Amino acid sequence: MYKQTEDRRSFLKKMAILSAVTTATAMFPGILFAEEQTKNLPVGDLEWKKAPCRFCGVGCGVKVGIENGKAVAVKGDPNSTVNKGLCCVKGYHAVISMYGKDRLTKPLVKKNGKYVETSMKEALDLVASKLKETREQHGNDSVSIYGSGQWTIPDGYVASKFFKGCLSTNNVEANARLCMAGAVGGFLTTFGIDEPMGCYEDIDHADVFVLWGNNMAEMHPVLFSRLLDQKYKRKAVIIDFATRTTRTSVAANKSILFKPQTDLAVANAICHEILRNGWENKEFVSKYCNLSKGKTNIGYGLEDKFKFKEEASAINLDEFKKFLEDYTPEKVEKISGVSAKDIKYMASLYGDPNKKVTSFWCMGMNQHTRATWINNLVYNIHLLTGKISTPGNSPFSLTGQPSACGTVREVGTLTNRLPYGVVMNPKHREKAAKIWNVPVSNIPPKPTYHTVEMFRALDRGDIKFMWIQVTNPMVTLPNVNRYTDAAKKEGRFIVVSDIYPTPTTDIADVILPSAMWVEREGLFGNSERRTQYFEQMVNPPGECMSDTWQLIEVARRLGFQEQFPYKEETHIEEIYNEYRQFHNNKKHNMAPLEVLKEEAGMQWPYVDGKPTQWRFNAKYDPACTKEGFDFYGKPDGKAIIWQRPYEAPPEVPTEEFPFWLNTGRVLEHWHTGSMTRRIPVLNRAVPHAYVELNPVDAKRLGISDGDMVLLTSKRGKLKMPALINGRGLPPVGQVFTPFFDENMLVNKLTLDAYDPISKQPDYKKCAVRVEKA
Amino acid sequence: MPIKSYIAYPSEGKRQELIEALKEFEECEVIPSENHKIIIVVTETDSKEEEKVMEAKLKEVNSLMMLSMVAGFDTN
Repeated sequence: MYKQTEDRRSFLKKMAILSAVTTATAMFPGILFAEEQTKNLPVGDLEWKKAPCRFCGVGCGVKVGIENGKAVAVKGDPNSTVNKGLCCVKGYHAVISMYGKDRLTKPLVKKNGKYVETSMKEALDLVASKLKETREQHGNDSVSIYGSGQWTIPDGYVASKFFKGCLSTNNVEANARLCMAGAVGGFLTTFGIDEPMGCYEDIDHADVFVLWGNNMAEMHPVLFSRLLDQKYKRKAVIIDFATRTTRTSVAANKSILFKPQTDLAVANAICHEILRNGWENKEFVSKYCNLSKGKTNIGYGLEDKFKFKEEASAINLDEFKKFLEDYTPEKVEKISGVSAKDIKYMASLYGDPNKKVTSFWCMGMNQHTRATWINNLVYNIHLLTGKISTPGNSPFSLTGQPSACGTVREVGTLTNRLPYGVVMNPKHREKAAKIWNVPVSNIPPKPTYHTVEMFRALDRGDIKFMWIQVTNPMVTLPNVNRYTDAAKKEGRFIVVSDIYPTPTTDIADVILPSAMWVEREGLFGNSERRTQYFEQMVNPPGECMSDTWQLIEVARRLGFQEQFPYKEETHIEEIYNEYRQFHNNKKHNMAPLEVLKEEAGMQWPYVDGKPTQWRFNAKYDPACTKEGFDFYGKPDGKAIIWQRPYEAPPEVPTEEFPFWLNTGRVLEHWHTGSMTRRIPVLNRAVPHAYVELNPVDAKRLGISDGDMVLLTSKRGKLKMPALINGRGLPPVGQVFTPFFDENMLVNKLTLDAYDPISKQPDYKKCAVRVEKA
Repeated sequence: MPIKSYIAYPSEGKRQELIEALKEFEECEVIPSENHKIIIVVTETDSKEEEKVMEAKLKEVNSLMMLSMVAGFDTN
């Protein structure tokens, strides 16, 4: 064991060197460093245990250093093929976020307007009795649960089983509806099955990366390092296609800016160019694709109880070509602001048969009132050129949360979903009922509320009880004022499980302190279908309890002991093994827990002891039942090329509100900042939100860097300091603000419009007025 | 008292120049690979403020193409 300060400093320095050497060795097999410089590097007495990172959806493998029962250090895991030992600034500070001074450690119950500490037993008794009473008085659909892509797989699984299987309500949603639903909509409509066909290894094979509204340098920095590495090693080309200039634009080979929403038109123009030049892969299209068109002018979901039903009909390639005549590069230049030359350049990259192309996207395409459409359109490009499901050829939707895929999408913690399939399908309900040990009649056959509508139902009084776990909707919901007021209305009962006080715990009637990350055992699933296990490494503080166990305790209090018979010491293993039964097939089989305990994660489908890297390609995917490609999510094995037009967004700048407002994240803070703002070094780096302005606009409005600016939309007002020539540069007529700062709630301004197909709201475009405050 | 380690990538043909430039900084320990262009850089500063200044200086080194952080510790 090392001794006092000097020894400790020397030890940590050697650890830092060792981490770098290990990482370099993983990235560049055979690399050598001078022996005298690397000898005597310590193994140390810290106990290092593997886990997936707590933050974004990349799913970096990390090693957590444990000392005297406390998590004290993080380093990248060189055994992880995801990050190969690299770690971003959030990741390597992750353990500090567990030890903030204001950590919630005792349950709190609101009495006469004040929070009073109570025991966990009493708090859970109260939650159970309120849940029971509300159902008895107002019916099954008066209660709801709202979780997140930070729910571990067992958390989401027991939430779904409890609410759908036992309480007979499909009022189960998660915040991934706000970030990934558009991607799911795209996958289901094009391929009939969710989640990317490729994997991060595509990065090592692609010649070209097209980033569709995806600031990877800040949001997925470790993956972006891998892209840059390929740029330098293999001269891979990076195209940043975005609405504002960012760190990603600066590092890319080429930055192309487009006007908000017009990515739809540009994607169509790229398809037009591919077909006009005969660059399509005719054999691939004829053997593996169908063409369809759907409804147009589909609305924006701005009104309560908005309904939409898609009506698809088949088209042929000539009809598709005819449709694309409205999308010549020259016509689209006028809509999008992207030059015809740049559109043709992008088309030529996709169209070149000798170039492997990977498209990445995240919130730019998914937080979009036409999210499903733009996902469809990028798939169109890859399907027309046959650049899909092979190493380096990959349309790849990234995620922002550690288990948006693993929990929300795979466990199915959305109103319409089950761990296997959808609630509307009787066979899927039968399967769930059998595994859950409940009567099939318990599971209602109709979805209820998606996220925005769930909070609208809370406002209307249709929902009276809501349990919110591991998410912060009073910061993240669009048009958040309406929903904050809704939660405070008479007759609503809100339970919030979290680790720190947030604007969401402020509206709670009961606050349950949760165990965080490696304070409990769990599993996450990342963007590339990789399931990762982590053990409990340290004890949670005070009375903190995992979200999984909180749910089990309440379920048992309501009489569901038979459905939740798990032992406390083995419940995660029992739950995971039960859950695996849903995916016991070649299309989605998941690795056994004992494998996940040993490995830095494993991708599904896991068949005959092997992960699947590229789905739908018979060469790599054992679920394929025919030669070549088999898009087996569709009955005939064919993917769909969708005819989808450009349609304007619901709100555009006007004389009264002349600026586009775009919102997003920054490198240093993760989502609403409830964890990263407790990490002093990150909080000091970016202590508060700001509004980025173009210098031309700033000069015209008499605004200097740091001046307070008043932003006004139809829904609210917000004052924040100006940032001019900072890390991001919006074009003239646009402003950008990050959403991590609970003291400057930008979602007071945003619009709760959503994509009618996926129900995902659009946080990237609404209209505001900008004035010097 | 932060300690951080990085993998540094030199600009094309500027590896030696980068090594020399990095060695100029007192706060840097430089460990070049013997058979690859990458270089391991370890920074050791007395305060977070100094660390910030150090990072800014590193970013200004012309022969540096990319810097990827690997690990970091605060000895306080």
